[in-house]
Amino acid sequence: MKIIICLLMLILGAGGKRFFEEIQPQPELNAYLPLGKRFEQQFIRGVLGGWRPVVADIAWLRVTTSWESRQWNRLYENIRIATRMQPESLIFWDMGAWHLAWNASLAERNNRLESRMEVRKEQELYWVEQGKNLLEEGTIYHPTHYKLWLQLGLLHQERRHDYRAAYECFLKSSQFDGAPSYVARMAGYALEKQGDPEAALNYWEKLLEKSSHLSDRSLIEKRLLKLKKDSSLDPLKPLP
Amino acid sequence: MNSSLPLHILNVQARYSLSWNRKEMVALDDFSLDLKAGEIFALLGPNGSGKTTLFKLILGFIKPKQGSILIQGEPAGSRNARAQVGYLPENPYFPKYLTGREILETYGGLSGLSRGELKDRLERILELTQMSSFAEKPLHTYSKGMIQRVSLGQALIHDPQLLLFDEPTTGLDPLGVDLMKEAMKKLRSLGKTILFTSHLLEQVETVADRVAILYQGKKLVEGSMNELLKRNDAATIQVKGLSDEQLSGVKAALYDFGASAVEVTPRSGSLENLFRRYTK
Amino acid sequence: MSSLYLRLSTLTGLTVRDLLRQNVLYLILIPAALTLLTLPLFTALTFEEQIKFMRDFCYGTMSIFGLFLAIIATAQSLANDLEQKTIFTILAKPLNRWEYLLSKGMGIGLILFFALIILTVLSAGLFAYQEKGLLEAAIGNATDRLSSQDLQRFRDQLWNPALLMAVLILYLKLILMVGFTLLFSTIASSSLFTIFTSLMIYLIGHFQSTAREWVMGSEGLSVGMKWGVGLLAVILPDMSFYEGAERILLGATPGWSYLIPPLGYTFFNLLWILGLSTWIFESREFR
Repeated sequence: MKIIICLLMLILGAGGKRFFEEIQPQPELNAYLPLGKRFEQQFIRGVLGGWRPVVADIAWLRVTTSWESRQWNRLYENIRIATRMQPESLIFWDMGAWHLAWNASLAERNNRLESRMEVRKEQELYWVEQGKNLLEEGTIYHPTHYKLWLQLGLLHQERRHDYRAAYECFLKSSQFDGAPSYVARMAGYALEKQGDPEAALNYWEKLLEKSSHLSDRSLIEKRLLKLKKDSSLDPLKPLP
Repeated sequence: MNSSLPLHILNVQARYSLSWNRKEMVALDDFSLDLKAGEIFALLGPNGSGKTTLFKLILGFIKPKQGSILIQGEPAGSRNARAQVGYLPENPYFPKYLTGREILETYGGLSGLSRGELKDRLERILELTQMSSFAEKPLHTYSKGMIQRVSLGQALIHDPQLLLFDEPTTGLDPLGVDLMKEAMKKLRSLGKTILFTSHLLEQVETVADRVAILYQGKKLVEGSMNELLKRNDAATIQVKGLSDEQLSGVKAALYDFGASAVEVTPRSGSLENLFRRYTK
Repeated sequence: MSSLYLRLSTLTGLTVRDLLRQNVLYLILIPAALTLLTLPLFTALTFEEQIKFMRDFCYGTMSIFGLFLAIIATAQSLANDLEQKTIFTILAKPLNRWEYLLSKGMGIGLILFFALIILTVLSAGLFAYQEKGLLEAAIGNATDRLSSQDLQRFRDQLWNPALLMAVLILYLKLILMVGFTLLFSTIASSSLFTIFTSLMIYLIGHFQSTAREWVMGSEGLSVGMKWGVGLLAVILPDMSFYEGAERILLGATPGWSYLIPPLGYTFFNLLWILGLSTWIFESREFR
């Protein structure tokens, strides 16, 4: 009798367990990550347990101290540790890229200890590229979060002057939940900066159609008006 | 018939496997025993003769390879069977931070006794085991004898019919031994059945109704004390108030009656009696 | 009160008292508390970073020391009863073996619950202390970057009630580990083996979902192999059920229904674990 009850508990328990496993959606990261990265993440979770975010945070504290002491390589290494330990934390990707593409790269450009301008320029670009790579990797872990795409767009626009890439990133960012309405407008500005007024006008027209918020509409209309004026088109006529 | 017996063991065999050479050791071989209500049965035997193994079989800690054990008709090891058994281990261990009373309450709780049932039973057990004076003190202040009394108390707490005492008097002083023997006799008078093991043959003699000798897992002999110890061709005569000369005369007279051997030894008090006289 | 309840509550109480008397509890709880007290030594630059660090640090401390407590206390509990031979006097009483196992688990579960309460209260105290310190620093700083909105956001994140849910999820995870450790204790003869195996299960549990998906999805594997892996998947826990706690730490504020998957998962796991443990423990001989 006892054995039968034990068997029933075994079957019922194991069945219930498997049922929950089957209906449980895949962990958010698992849905996007390649297998190798998933195993890596699960290994870190298993080995470090609850200390995993703490290790990431301590690496992040070292990022901060490296920034203060302008040790850029140390800063980069610690950003890598933090993002590897806790890739689901957006702040590490977001601020890490800002440290690299802005702080490190601008510090190298203004490095008075280096007299050769071309070396300074090279170093500046190097850190901008590292920042870009970091953000791109971040978007593998957070493909549907507007913030990293926005940040990547800004980086392309401000630091690389690649307005086409910036436009694409802003556009993508604007399509995700939680993106503020200005992100979609930034895509328009990027198109303008790219030097393609026709495409920009088209974009603004479409954005106006989609926008329902009054203040957004008024901003878009003003922009359209200015663009049309600049390109000597009749502001009252629709675009060809 | 068997269902009413406190303990019925039939052709039990227990084997231990020796993992290091995959051989098996027979701990108990073809052992049978029936115990009646209200009797005290002693198991004698050297270390490793299978006494403790028998207790573990009765309690269901190990399972027999063959044969059967019934306690009041219930198979050994079952919950109903264990409800009928009280066990006093050879070297009892209890949490040292608990008091004697708390130990009894805990074991009462483990037996499923309610507060009301426990209260009544506790007082009787404290009286029987003479624990009242130290029941409120923590166990780490207890002597070996006191711990043994607590152990006896926990064995009795759920009012079992069959009591298993493994070396109950080992390590006790004569007063502790007396108390244990008195308790056993009292329990017998209450109709309880006691199966106990001991190395101290003299103590067994004074308390057991029946006895069996185990050796290397086999029962060599079993019977009542009278049956086993009675010698029809020998007798003891005790005399008091005769001089040495008169004693010699008695000795000679006994030879004249046809005695083949006569021994006259002046009687002295035992050290044990002396100890009791001063410590009681 | 039923006899079963009395037996269970007595042995649970005894387990709790035993653990409270054992050094293992304090050897784990005191370092955990000391670790928490080092929190004010770590200061980050931005408030957001500071909040994240405080939450991660407190949760990490609870998680690691809780895991040690769950595994070591459980492994020791049964091993001690065997070593000191208390198990003979306990199981000589009319007590089912499953009741013994369940009571042990419940006793350790209670200890873990109180340990987590202590650490949570300590963490809350540290949060309050840190908050006060940070506010004072902000007020004293002329070039203070804190707006009242920032302050409110800071407070909301710090005192997010969902953090309690994260602690509850952690508790469920630890209870699951108590179950597994108890299962291994019924087989093992040494607590070291039990501790090692339980830690391995904990580690492997983090790979379970991906490994299962990978094996089941890969071509060229025999049916037998797939069945074998399927069986392993039944035994091994999937720790991703408890990852919700980390999402809360990152700022998620879910409703209470968020607890249903880890709660249900833990319940069913404990059910089969108790069934199997009882089966093994019933046939175990004590010599």
